[in-house]
Order: sequence, then structure tokens, then C-alpha cells
Amino acid sequence: MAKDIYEDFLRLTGFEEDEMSEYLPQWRKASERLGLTEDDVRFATQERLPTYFAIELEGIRKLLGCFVKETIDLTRASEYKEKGVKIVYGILPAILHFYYALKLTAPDKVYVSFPDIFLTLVMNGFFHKLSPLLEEAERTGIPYGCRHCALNKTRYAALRLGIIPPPDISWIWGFICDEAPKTDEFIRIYHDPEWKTYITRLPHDQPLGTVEDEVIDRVEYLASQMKDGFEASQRAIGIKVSEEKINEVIAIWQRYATKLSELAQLMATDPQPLGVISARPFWEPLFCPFNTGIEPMEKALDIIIKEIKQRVAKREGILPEGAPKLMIYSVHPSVPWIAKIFEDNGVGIPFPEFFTLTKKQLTPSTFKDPYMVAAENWLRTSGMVNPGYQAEQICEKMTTLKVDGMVMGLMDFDRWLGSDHRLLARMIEEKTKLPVFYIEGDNWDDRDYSPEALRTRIESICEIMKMRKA
Amino acid sequence: MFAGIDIGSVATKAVIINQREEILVFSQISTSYDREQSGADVFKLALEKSQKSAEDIEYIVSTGYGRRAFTSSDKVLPEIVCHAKGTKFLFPAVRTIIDIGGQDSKVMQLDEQGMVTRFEMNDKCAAGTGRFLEVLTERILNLPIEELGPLSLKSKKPCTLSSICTVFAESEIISFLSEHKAKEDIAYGMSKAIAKRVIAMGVGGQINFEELIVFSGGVAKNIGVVKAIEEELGKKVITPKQPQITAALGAAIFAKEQS
Repeated sequence: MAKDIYEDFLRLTGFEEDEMSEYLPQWRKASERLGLTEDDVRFATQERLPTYFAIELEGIRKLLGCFVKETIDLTRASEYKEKGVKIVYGILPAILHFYYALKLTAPDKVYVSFPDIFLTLVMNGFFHKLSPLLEEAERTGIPYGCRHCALNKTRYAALRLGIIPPPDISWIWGFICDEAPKTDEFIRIYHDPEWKTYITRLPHDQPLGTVEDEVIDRVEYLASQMKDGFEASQRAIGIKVSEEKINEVIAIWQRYATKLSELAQLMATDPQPLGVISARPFWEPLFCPFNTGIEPMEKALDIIIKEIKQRVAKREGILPEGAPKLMIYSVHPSVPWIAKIFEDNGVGIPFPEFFTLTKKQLTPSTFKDPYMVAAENWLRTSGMVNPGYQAEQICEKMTTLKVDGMVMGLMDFDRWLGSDHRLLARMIEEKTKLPVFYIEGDNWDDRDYSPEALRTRIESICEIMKMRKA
Repeated sequence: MFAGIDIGSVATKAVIINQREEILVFSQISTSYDREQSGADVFKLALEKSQKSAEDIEYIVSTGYGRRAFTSSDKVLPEIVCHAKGTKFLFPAVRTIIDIGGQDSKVMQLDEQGMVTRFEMNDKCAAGTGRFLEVLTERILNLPIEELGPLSLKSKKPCTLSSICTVFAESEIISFLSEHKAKEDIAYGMSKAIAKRVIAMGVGGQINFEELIVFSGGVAKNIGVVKAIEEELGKKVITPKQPQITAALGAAIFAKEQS
């Protein structure tokens, strides 16, 4: 009998033997719906995942399995819709408590997802096959090189190709870019007049250096905006969520974030015990809601923390002891080879800055109202505030996690971050006296730059860091 | 003895130095489609010129875009650090390096010890590179590339190229030719365009072009571009006698240090 690559794929991604009969047919169907061929699944199983993920660890296999289950679930969203389940989308960066609270309130009546970022991660990170989606968007109205990033193109193309159904409400945020609301406008005007959007915005009008979570008017304003958005979303789908449910989510969230922080601390040990691409997806449920829930991911997180502690105890690392370490603003598994070039050249990038937490972020809120809690948390997040406060937070993380420098960039597609990062680099360098590098590139889409030029840039950074450390 | 091989997009260079870090030979050939062969050919040429054999070479470092293709090297290093090493060797007081090669341009800032503290390079665009000049000079102005520099120095009223894109600049030059603008004014306009592009790239990377500024790479042979960079910066720029030697020389010095 021929080897079943779909089955191998599921085994590799942590599925147990007793799960096969249930999930194998579902995975075949999901693959077909996503346009993945047997060769694509073979490529993921035999090359892509073993190259970039520490599949020898059970925690990583289980983590990948969570993404596979979520992928299967995503491809069933149209079926859910036909059965009357309400579909709610969003796009990052957003505050996810509310999406999870919807799910917690009515698990069988609502489907929540940020399909664009999720599909981007799985299609490129696992299969290196996001291009057909991007090309579909480019063929049909969102041109190549325009300011609609790969995420927005993916959302639009996934709808066009019937991978995802239209939502009952797309509650989107324009916190650090306005591309998502513009893409939704585009979808509504040119493709689906029924596409429903609610937009929550936050003006960036705070003086440089303002500690925004301590400006009570601002916290209240953001809380009221979130409340309005959440109420509009609840009205659109006819589901009422109690404040207790939001509080319940906040507690789960805080617990998960604390465990992530422990993982980040472990990643900071010398020698670095795990590659960043392997660990990075554990942060995903804080930035993209999982309809299948955060709990399976938490189980995988518990396993990996245990496994990494063992590696730390044995001083086992992916790099030699004393290797230079750089904090990177963001690194995404959709373009996994960037992180690998660093690691192959003897420099660790143990964690993305955006996903590590300051002491303040780990401190419980002083508020009781869940909207105020969520707003305060948001305004404690480095990437969401004015560059002065952001730089302060980045510097704190660099000191706490004992890195030798920082890498900004890979956000050239973004009007805001593309320019902001160069200024931040200067501010951080001045404060920490550590080197801060900038890399041109696109975190989601690796079609648009020369891998060879990028390799030269990264290898140069690595050599400079090794010389400095020596 | 130690060798550095720099396999660039247009030219492949080799330097052999001795234990006292004296340059015994510098060789250069055009890069062919087979990067490994180019590396082997230039190495062979350097050995012939210095009357040495491969056995005399203790350690080889390769650099440049084709660095990994050259499998005979003992170590591979990116060209940024090799440029810094080689330029610091030639000009100990250097603090800024501008290198414009065939397919890329780079600006590097060095500290007093010669350590690279910042660098910028073009990642995905031919603007501001040797290719930019090559395409526009040979195809549009019908001039050999070597004549572009001397011609541009005769300019009295340089044209302004508003676009830094090679393709759009080509259309602009065609318009200038239709308007019967002098070739020397177009030539210097091109030099100014390349200078503006590379300086903007450095400034964007927070490089403040501290002196001593050394301009290397094949494009540094073009005296029009040298003049344009000096004008744009308002600072003196120095070019090595052999502007394409620096990365290969740096690689050779690294080879000695590694051995």
C-alpha cells in the first residue's frame, strides 16, 4: 500500500493514533479546499516543517497540531454558516478578549477567526504556498505593490476562492494601520455588498513619551470604543455576552500570557534552547483568535515548557554558549528562513519583541471594568503606543532579557511601521548603547525581495555581532 | 600566504597577501554565469601573476554575491565586513565607506576601531548601482561606460533626473535627448541621481557621513560620480587607487587572521 502522506503529516503534527479516523478525512478535505496537493503536503512533511520547526519535541508537534485542527475548522466555516452559526472576523492588531468571550458564551452558535493572518501563517509557514491567494487578489483588483498588505489580500482572495464565507460581522481595527478598513471597503464595493464591517479606531495623538496606560481619559476613551464595537458586533449576530464572560477570558488570557512569559525567559537562557520559529506560534492565539480555543495550545505550551526546562538543565542549545543574541521586533513563521539565516550564522534571535511582555504588562490591572482592563492592557503594549513610550518598553525588555542588540524592520509594506522603525532604531540605540539594525522586507510575503541581498544583510549583521561580542 | 576572493555580480577579484600583510597581487576578471568557475579563474590568475601555487596559500576567504558558490574557500564572509576590513587597512582613518558595485550599493559607518556600527544597502532595486549607469550610458547615450565620467565633468547645466528608478530614468533621458540637451549635462545628471540615491539611502539608515569618507567599487572609477557625491555631501571623498580591491583585500586579511 502506498505511503499515505496525509497520515504522515498528521502524525508529524502531533495527532494521536486514535484521532486518525476522525481527522484524516477532514484533513484531506481541508487540503483540497485550500488548493493543497499531495506534493504540497509531502513538501511540508518532509522538508518545510522538519527544516524550520523542532519536531523532535512533543510540545512543538502538538503546537503544530493545534494549527492543523484550526485550519480544518476554518475550511468548515462555510458549513457552519449554512447551519446558522454566526461568523465573526477581525484583523490584527486587535484586542481578542471579545472574540474569545463570544466563543465562550455561545460555543456552538458563533465562529470567530482572523482568517487572513491565520491562513498566511499556515499556507506560507507550513506549505510555502500563499502565492496563489496573493495572485488571485492581484488579478482581481488589489494590485501588486500597492499598500494593501499580504494579509488583506489573503482575506479578500480567501473569500473569492470560497475558502471562507462572508462574515455576519467583520469587526476590524485600525490601530496601527488603516489598510484593513480600506480593504473591507474594497470588498464591499467590488465583490460583496453584503460584507458587513464595524471599525474601531484609536487616534495617535499623544505627546512623545506619554505613558498612555496612565492617561485615564485615553483608557476610558479606548474602553468606550471597544464597548461600542463589541455591542455592535453582538447586535449583528444576536448574541449577548455578559461581563463575567469577558472577565473569564481575561483570566485565561493572563494565565496563558504568564506561561508565555516563562517560555520567553527560558528562550533567553544561554545557550538558546529552541529556535524562534518553533516557539513563535505559541504567541499566535494572543493576536489571532482560535475558534478551537486557547486550551489545546495551553496544553502544548505546558509540554514545551517542561521539555525546554530539561534542555536548559542539560545546557543543550541550538547555538553554542555565549552566542550573540538579538531581539527582533517581529519574526513570523510565514517567512521562516529569515530567522534560520540568523541561527545558521551563529546569532540567536530568541524572541520577537512584540510578543514579549514588560513587568507592567504582567501586573494585574487596577480596574474592575473588563473594558477598562482590556484598554489598559492594550495601552501597555509597546507596539500600540507613541514611539517614546514604545522605545522605553523595548529598552526594558532588552535589559531584562539580556540581549546584545535589536533588529527592527521587515514591515516595509506598512505605511506606519515602515517609517517608524528607523526612528525607533535610533532612539533605542541611543538609550541602550547597543546596536540596532534595520532590515528591509515583508514579514508575510517573501516574493518581493531578493533572498540573496537579504542573506548578505543578515550575514553582515551576524558577523558584526560576533566581532563585537568577541 | 592568504587569499581573498570577491565574487561580485559584474567583476570577480582576488588578492593575495603575505604574513606581513603586504599585497602581493590583485587580479580581476569579469564574472561569468558560473560563479564557482569565476572564483577559480581569478584565483588561478592571481597565482600565476604572483608565481605561486595553490599549496602556498594557507587560507582562503571568499566574499561577494557569489561567495558560497566558490567551494574552495575555507571560510565565507559577507562583503560588508570585508569592505570594512580592507578599507580600514588602506585608510586607517576611514569612518564612512560608500561602495557602489554592479548590482548593489552600500554605505557603511565605522567606529574608530574599524568596526561597522551601521550599514545600509539596496535590497531590491537597481537604482543607484553600476547597472543603472551601464544601462543608461550604453543603451541610451550610446557611449562606452568609461567615457561617462570625463564627459560629465564638462557639464555646465546638469539635467535633473527626477526619478531614481532605472526604467523611468531611461524615459526621462529619452525626453532630454528629444529636447537636444547636451550629452555632458545628461551624463552629469545621471551622476547626480546616483549620488542622491546612495546618500539618501545612508541618511535613511541614520548614517551621518562622518569623514574620512572612502568611495569604493567599480562606480568609484567614474570621476563624475565622485564629484557628484562630494557636491551633494559638501565633503571630500577619497577613492582607492584600485577601487574594486577593498572587499577582496579585507577577505585576504580575514584569511590571515583565521588561519
